Amino acid sequence: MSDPIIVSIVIAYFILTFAIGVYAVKRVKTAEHYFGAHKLFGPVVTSIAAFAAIMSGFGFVGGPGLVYSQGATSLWITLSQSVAFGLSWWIIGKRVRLIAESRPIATLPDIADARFKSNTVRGLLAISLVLGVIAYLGTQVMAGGYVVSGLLGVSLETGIIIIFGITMLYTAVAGMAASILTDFFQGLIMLIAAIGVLVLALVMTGGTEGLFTTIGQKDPVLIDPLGKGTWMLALMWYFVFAIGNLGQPHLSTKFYALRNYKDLKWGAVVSGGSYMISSLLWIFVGYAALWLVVSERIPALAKPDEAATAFLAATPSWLAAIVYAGLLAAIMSTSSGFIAIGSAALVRDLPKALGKELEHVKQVWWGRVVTIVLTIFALIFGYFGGYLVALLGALGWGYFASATLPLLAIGLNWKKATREGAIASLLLALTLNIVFLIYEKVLGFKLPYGIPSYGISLIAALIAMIIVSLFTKGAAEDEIDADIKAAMKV
Amino acid sequence: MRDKLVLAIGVTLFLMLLAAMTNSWKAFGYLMALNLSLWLVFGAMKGEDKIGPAIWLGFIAFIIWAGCLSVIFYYWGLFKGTLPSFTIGGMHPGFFVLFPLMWLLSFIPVTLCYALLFDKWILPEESWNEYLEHLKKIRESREVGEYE
Repeated sequence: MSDPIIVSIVIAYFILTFAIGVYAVKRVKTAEHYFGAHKLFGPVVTSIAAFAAIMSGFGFVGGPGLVYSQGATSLWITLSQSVAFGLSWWIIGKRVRLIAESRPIATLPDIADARFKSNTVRGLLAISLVLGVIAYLGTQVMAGGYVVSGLLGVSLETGIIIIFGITMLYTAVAGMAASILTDFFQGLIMLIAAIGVLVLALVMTGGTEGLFTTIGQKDPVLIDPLGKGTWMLALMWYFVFAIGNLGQPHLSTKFYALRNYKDLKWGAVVSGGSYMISSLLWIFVGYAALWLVVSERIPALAKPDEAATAFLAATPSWLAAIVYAGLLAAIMSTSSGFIAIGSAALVRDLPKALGKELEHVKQVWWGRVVTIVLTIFALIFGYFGGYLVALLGALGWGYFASATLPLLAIGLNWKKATREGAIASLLLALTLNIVFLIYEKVLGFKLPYGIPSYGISLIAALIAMIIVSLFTKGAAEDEIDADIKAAMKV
Repeated sequence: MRDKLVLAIGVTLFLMLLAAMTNSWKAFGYLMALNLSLWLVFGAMKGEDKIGPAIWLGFIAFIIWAGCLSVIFYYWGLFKGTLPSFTIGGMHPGFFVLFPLMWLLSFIPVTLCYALLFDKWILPEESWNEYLEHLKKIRESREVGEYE
């Protein structure tokens, strides 16, 4: 059983999160509120929620683990975020918010359909989202379960039920509104955790001088700007995560949640700045764990992913508790957003793509049912799926970026982007991601020079959108609906 | 102008693909800096041809990225596999340029400038009101996509 202080703070965190999530039901008056939190929140809540949705558990465990084992290579991912949120706001923020003023937008397929006037585009995007959501949630099941199990001293199964049961319930009750409000709370926790970790890591190690000098004397590669990876990996990571940010559905959906157009103004700074602060945890936990090992204060870690727990074991209980709460917050905030997106895709987007639509009142009811069913399915898949989970889990950031980026970044800013271009880019993104999945995970091959395959998929999908659009005409220029054209002109 | 930008984005993406498959990582780095700068201009410009401060933002962002990458590559190569002959706050000089320098400097044109330019360039109140007026006319003429 864990330290009682840690247990108390973690339990208090769960109770507060659940209460906030359920409270959000007061804001839900329409299906658009439920699925998309359409124009429900102000800038601070939405911006902090945006950063919290993007910062997943990987930033707390996987990231520091990679720093521990590889040095700076993985930092090219997190450091890209100082520009990623800005690029998102510049490229699609205004467009999505303007469209939300003219139409009851609640999902990304809603936006894609508004622009390209195509049930095929809507349907393909919805399918892509559901596949990505199940894959993502599947990977979080065991991770979340192990964390709760270790913290509270319960079985793995009980841990899974606690963390995902709570997430499922508040998301079922209030949909995306609950997701955003709890994301805001969870984002604040992550920020407090990150600042505490930074201060403690620097005090513990004697500042950056002590930290990096000690590590560098053991292995200079661990303190250089590349680390043990390749340049192609590091640079492609920077690119994919800088531009791919706006293609993440759990970010881009936040723009139509803004109550007022002026709320766009400081959003990028608040989101980006918040992420930058929280990424200090990724950077300094990893290096501090390395320092502890190199300076022989703790034995070498059996697995790199133990870096975070090894560091936290050397910190005061109250800080460790806050960081663990931050880790749970990161897992739950991203998961709730994906559950809401998946539910919307199944209840609202796929039926519309097939020419059917539920009455709005029934959409919310079915949204709740599907949220529960989807979460339970993801839990079963994540728990029993084994190899398949690891396989599909590789569909992540790059998969979403390659599917949605061409539609949003190019489609909402270029009148000559066509329906055929959108369909081509979606099909290519889906195909390439699955082909690379088989190539790497089933056949065991790797692309040369450490190139991450989703970088190739993303670039190929963008090029496909441009080239196919140059030779086709569907839903382009004069065929664009007048209100969409007006939003693209401002 | 927007058409030309899209083509430029497409061409640089293709060149990035070629650079990646041939492990020309320095070329990839500079092409990436160019590509991201083009995306910034693409997002920051208005209408089909109104470029305004977008071009300066893109230019400054490119200089920051290309400049920082150059210094990072240089010091990485100079001290490859060895302890650097000098450090900045204990940090490898190339590492220091990556974090915190490039991390903070790139934030200024790409993220901070969004807030600084919002009222005057991105979405002035006048533009918003004109847009609402236009929407009203569209609804009245029943051209808008129907509420579903």
